[in-house]
Amino acid sequence: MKKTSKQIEPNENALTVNNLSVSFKTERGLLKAVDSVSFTIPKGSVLGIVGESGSGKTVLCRTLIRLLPESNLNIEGSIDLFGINVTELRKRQLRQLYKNVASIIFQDPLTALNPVMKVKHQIAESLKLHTETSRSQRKQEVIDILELVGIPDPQIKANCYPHQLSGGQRQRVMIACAIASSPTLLIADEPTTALDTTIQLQILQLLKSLQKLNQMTLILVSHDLGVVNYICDYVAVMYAGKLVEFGKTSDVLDHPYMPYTKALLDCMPSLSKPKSHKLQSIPNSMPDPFSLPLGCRFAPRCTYVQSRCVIESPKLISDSSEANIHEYACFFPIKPIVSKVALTSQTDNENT
Amino acid sequence: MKTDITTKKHRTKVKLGIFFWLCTFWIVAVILVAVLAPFLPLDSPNKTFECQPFLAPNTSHIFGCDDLGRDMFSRVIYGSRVSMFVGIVSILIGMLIGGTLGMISGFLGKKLDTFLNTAANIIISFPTLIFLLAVVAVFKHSLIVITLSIAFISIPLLFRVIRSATIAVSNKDFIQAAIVLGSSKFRILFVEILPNILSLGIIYGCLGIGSAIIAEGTLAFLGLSVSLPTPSWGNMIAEGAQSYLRRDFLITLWPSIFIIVTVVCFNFISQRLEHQFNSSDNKV
Repeated sequence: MKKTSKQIEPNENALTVNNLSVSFKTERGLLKAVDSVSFTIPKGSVLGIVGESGSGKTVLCRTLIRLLPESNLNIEGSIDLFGINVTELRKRQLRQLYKNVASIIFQDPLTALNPVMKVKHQIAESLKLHTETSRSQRKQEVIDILELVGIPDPQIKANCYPHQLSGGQRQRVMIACAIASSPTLLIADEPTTALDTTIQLQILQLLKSLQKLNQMTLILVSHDLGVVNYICDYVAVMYAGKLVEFGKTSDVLDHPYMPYTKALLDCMPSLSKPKSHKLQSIPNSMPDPFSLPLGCRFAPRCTYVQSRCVIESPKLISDSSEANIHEYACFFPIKPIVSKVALTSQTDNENT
Repeated sequence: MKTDITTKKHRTKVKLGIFFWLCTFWIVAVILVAVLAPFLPLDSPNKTFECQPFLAPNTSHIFGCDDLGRDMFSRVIYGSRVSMFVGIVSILIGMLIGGTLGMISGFLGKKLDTFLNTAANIIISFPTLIFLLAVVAVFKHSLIVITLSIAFISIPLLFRVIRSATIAVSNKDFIQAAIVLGSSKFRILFVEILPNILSLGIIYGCLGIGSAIIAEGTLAFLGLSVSLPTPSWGNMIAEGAQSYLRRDFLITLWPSIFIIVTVVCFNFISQRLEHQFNSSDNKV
């Protein structure tokens, strides 16, 4: 673990995604799961990708390390990961990428661990591929890593099968497997969805501390804005395969420009609001990916919709008034005057 | 001390039931007796005793004698050698080839999978008995030919089972996780996937042995297995049934009982194991 704490120059980019589109060939036609997404994040930062189910979050981040089955898949655009052009990599080179650069944590710790392998063997496998240590050394390293991820009695738990561990412990083991390879990029695909709330916080704290310790770049997929607010430096909001808002977490969540982001924020329950306050929800559901609306994809559900939204598709616009990057895809962004209301309600949200 | 408690707590007791152990005992006993037959104090299966034909069971010949005065008991024991050999060896070969191909095909997919799957479907569409008859007609009907041809029939069936199980396991997240770790394909196939489908292999292996014994019996009944006078359960049934069923049904009865009991035991073991493996899978 220690030997990987590489010197990170603050201005270098970890990941540059340029005009990335991912489509699947299906019987009903071409399904565009990710549509012309572009963004850049610096090294050592934490990016949160949020959006509803089916918005393309998972497809996007699996594409980042080419983990999707290649048949019937069409990737356009480019992904630059620490100077490696991921879209151009061949199968053999991919293995090198996995070995040296990227790692992933899956949503469900139940299915992401091999049920017939002891915990220690699963972690040792990861170590074996990345370091050249002797068997006995590796044994100790496994225990160390288990201790690092906060597993009680690591000596005993190392000899357990996954079904003998609790959900939180399993997720910790998953994290242990992922960080054992000391990756520079860690993708966490909804790592806390299958866990209960108290464990969620612990796992997030663990991820955050490991990210700081190893200076990893972390990409966190979530549909929980609270989680994103807690851990992320940057946030990317996705809707129906499009990136609709991107920027620093504080900017995006405090002053959402895109009505969709605001709507998502309004859906969050708040303890400080009166009991009589009804929880908001976004009416209707995501458009069918095979018959997307002509204009803005959120238009049919947007409360701020105007005639232009239905006809024309908005491009991602950078907010020039600020020094920080804050991009949004909306013709009629919620102006700061309007969003003052949103701002006060957002501070409430942060307390939860 | 703590270690003891946790390890013991997690070791759930396997309850397979008395009937399972009875079946296992029977199978093990039949295999042992078949292997050790030449060293056991048995009469030669082809030795004719100077007694009346169709001698009823008595103390010196507990299963009685057949039309030529041969001891039925030792004929049944020696007959089991052929049946068990064909059953077990053909399925072992089938599992080795079919299982390996199934795993590779299911895991790698693409054109290889399409090709092998089509090939398997073509072989399955042969009428089994007619295929066996053709093979035996072309080649000599020796033990090896019978075993290999039954193995050949079993390959596509086992291939399909293992292939679909491999595909199911391949789609699990932990295989993706192993890929992201940078594990080699070989390792993923044999260390990650194989232990997960081993139980299924054992279950279908047991079932397959039962079917293979029946298949050999059928061939032998048609006179196409090992040639007489070497006894096999099938040709003993044929001998008894074709000529002397009305005079003495015991000649047919003994080997029939052995075939039925053995096949039922294999099927029951398979079913019980399936239940056991599934219930322990559910716990995970």
